[in-house]
Amino acid sequence: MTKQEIFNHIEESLELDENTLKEETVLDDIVEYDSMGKLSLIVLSDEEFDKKLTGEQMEEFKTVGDIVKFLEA
Amino acid sequence: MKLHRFEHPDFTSNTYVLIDKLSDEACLIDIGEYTQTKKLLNRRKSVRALLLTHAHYDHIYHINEFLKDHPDCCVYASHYTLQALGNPKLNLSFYHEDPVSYNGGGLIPVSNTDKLTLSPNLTVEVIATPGHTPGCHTYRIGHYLFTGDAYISGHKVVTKLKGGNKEEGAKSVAEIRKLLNPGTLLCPGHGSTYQITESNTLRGLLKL
Repeated sequence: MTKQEIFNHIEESLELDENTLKEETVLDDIVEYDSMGKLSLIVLSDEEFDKKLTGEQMEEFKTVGDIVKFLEA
Repeated sequence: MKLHRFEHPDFTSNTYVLIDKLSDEACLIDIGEYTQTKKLLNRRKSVRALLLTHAHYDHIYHINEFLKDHPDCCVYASHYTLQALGNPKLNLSFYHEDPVSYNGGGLIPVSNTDKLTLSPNLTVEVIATPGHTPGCHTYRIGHYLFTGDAYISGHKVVTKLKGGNKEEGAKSVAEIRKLLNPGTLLCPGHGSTYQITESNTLRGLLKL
């Protein structure tokens, strides 16, 4: 999966328009990154990337790039 | 009829208990909360039905404990919701520390426009209101309207979770708004109930 596709998945999970997010986008600045948005990303990680992502791990993420790196690894 | 609302302290999801005062029978809407609900039900003759608005874990969290206490109670919901009851990934409890699933009996699928007569004083109208999940139902019982998470006063419908659909959610909100007549008590899946009256109808509709 390309990096762009990962961005698109994240944007879709947060119900954002395409190409809204950049690697340096700070998660706390995204209104849609609320408890439901975080749960949506946890589901995305499991179903599309077969990776278990926990709420505790999400607390460590500061930027969208952190999520992308996790999903790419 | 007497309505009780109990809110889960962590999930904030509502469990509603509707009591028919004449027969002392109860009907539940969702089962996320079961501490105060259990205390109330222990004094009742019987529980006629559990109506599920949808199967997200915060609305079904105590279903196993409840059905163990009330094995004769039937569970009414959409096909999708009943399927999700037995699938922790669909009901999202898989991503919670305490997965929930129920695969036992007593499940009765209902669809849009169905009318259930649970007792002489208890008739339920089923309104399909997808969007938050594909299987969301709203239930109208007398002047009570139980909308689950398809419609919560002052909040945008959450459609970013698995199976959510923004367009369907908007259509369902429009359908529910048509049902908000003066006298209706709106009973959402989270938060307080909201009384629709002649004087606040316009203000209320604009706010919602």
